[in-house]
Amino acid sequence: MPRMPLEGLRVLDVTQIRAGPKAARWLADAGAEVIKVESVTRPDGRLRGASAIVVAGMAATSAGAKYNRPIPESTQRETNRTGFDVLHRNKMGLSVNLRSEEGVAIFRALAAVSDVVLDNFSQGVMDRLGLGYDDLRKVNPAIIVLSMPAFGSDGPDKSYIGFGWAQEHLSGVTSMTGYEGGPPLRTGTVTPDPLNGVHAAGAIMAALLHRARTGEGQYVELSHWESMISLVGDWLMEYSYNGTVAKRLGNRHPAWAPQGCYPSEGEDRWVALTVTCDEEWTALCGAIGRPELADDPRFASVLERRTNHDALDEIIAEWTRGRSNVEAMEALQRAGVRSGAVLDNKEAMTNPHAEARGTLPRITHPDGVSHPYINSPWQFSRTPQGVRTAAPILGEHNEYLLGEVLGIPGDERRRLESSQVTATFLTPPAE
Amino acid sequence: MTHALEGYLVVDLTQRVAGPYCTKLMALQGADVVKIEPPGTGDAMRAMGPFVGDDANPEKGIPFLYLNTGKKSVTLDVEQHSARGLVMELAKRADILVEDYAPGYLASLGLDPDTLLEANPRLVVSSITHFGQDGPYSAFKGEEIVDQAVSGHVSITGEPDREPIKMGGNLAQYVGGQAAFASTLIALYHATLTGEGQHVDNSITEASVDLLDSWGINSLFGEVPKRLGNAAPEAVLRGRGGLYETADGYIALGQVPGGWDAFVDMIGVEELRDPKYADPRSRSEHRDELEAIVAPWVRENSKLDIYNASQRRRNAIGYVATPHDMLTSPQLEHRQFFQEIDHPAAGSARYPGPPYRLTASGETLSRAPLLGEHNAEVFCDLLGLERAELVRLRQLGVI
Repeated sequence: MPRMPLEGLRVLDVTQIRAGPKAARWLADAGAEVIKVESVTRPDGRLRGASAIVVAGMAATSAGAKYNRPIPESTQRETNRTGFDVLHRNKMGLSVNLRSEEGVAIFRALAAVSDVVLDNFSQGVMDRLGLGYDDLRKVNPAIIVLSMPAFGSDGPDKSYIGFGWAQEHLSGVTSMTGYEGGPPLRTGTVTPDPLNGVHAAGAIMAALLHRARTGEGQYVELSHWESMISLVGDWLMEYSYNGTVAKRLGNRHPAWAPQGCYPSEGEDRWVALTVTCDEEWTALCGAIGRPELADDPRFASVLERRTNHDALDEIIAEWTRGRSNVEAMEALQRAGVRSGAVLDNKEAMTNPHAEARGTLPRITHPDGVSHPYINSPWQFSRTPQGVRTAAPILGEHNEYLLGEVLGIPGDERRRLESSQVTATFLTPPAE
Repeated sequence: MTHALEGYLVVDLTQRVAGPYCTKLMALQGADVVKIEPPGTGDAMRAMGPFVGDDANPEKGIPFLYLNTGKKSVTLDVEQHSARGLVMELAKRADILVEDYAPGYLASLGLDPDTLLEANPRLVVSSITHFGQDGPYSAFKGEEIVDQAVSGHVSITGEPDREPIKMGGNLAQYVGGQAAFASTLIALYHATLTGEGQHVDNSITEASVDLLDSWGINSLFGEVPKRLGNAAPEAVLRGRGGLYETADGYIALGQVPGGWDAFVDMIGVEELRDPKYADPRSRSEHRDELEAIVAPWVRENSKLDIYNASQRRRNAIGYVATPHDMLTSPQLEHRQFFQEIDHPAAGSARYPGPPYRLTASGETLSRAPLLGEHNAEVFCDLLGLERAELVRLRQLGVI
């Protein structure tokens, strides 16, 4: 089998929630050995239902009770585990108590034989654990450490807390989103976390390329706020240059017309389209069976089409109402008009195109549960990559990592587990 | 200081947002990015406003200026035969070629990935398209609203009783560019270690779908999210919270690790200490009464005062920031995030800095190029064309 592009790299992923796990996942998809390092007492977002975690010797403690609770509904079980799995496929699982000296020593020993460490704790946490960049470079001078403090590691707001949902507001995304004349609007999902995760993956690759040529490791810092502002730079800079800010326009475009979401057959079904030039306008007129509109002075150029946008929307809607949004999209695209059915989240992954592209590979977990994963958004022509293995259960690879990689003898490994420095997943309780 | 991508040559055959953002990130890390633009008009983004001083000049388009920092610009009409030879000469010397034409277009010019890789086996050819290189929609044309629609985002944004709307800005295009940056560098890493180049197929809509994470995967199990507007099902101080109007803008009152008591201390309304508001569940049940108390207080205060007071109590709310808020933020000022950049046509302005910082290799941020500004440098100094040949190509409209 050909080599995966990042094969041979080892990454310690001590991140939680979404942004950090997403960053490490890109590297795991491309073949790096990514180790999901989890707390023994506060596993990351694992409400695994029937696969609930039983921490050795801790079942009676509050942590044990918390994660051992049964979640009876089978769909709930599935969805709870998928939320974690989607971010952690292709990774190994290590559970270790970083608040114990021995746990910190294990982490340092792994860092000594790793290439990258990622964390997204609040600013200062890794330093206080003795696991900051300055600590880790002592055991591994070529290590690359990426931290993701919400607002950066210095400055007056450095210890402010920043959740992904708050970054959507702080970065201006909600300010740009909304109906014409209406208030700012939240978007449907919390996009800053995964967006910052993609940035972080790119940053690590740049640092790895630097190291490949110079041998030099380094500390990389991603402030969630700065990373998000980079994705609205064109909007922000209008103020920078002109002192003005674009108004919220709903679905309309400041320079093109028409653009919008139009009702299609069925309840709450819509199709989006945009016309970016006169050729596409003529094509739209033909596609909706109204070729005469191309010569209608009300819509002669983009200026008139913007002025008479409401009237134009009604004409387009007359046509879209009579067909499904997918039929409308296909007819418009055949005619050369940029159009997309407004697909719900399921349809976005299960339409014929997504199926042909292999968007949802399915993986069977060691406990027999099987579910689809969302595939990587890129394909390499020569090196394999993508979804390979299920997300790990808590501590699934403790034996391999502590035994084979670090050479800790078996009796010592069992002592570490019984003294709760490490923990492993045990047999799931019966439902 | 050697920048992370210093010495790597990138041939950039992209326009608008996604591809240019990808190569902007490369330029920030020190790569030598040669942007190939159509003669006369240049990148279609040059014609897109807003413009500096509302002057519709192709050197003054603000989105273009932002998306093309640190690049060189050459002009080439790739449809002309002699231009293809120049693209090939550049590709032979390059480490990366990024392109965003419709699938098959480069092949129609004789510049398909296999031909490029034959000429330069180490090359990473990275294609960025709306729907990817194959599949039933691969010939479809995309744009921001289209890409957001088919990737599920439009369906969940907006008020439930109105039409769905797109997320503001160009987030689908940006994530397409970000993802292509990561994938291209992964392939470059492989090429650096093994000498083996390859073709990377990046899909903007797939990068956009990937943002759905659990919202996406859970929809396969019957939990298909709907649009909820700002009226989130969560009550004040739960989950993502809702947006509330302040004296000077909006804030979101969401999840608050500092706790309810800290929030009540900040607002100072004793009525909120009633046990019926004590836990998240009971606050949800008494949501209307609660909002009747909280909303008037919020309306009387400024968003930054509320934000700072709240953060000092370890409650992480968020305010809806405007460009002015960001450009005057003491935090971003301290971090020297915004950088003043001068441009011969557009003048001087503050630009957002790099999205992350590689502390040893550093970033480099400089202005966007004028159309064809680097023709002589690239075609003569790099490819060895005579000056007279450059004049001839200009007369022929090749450059």
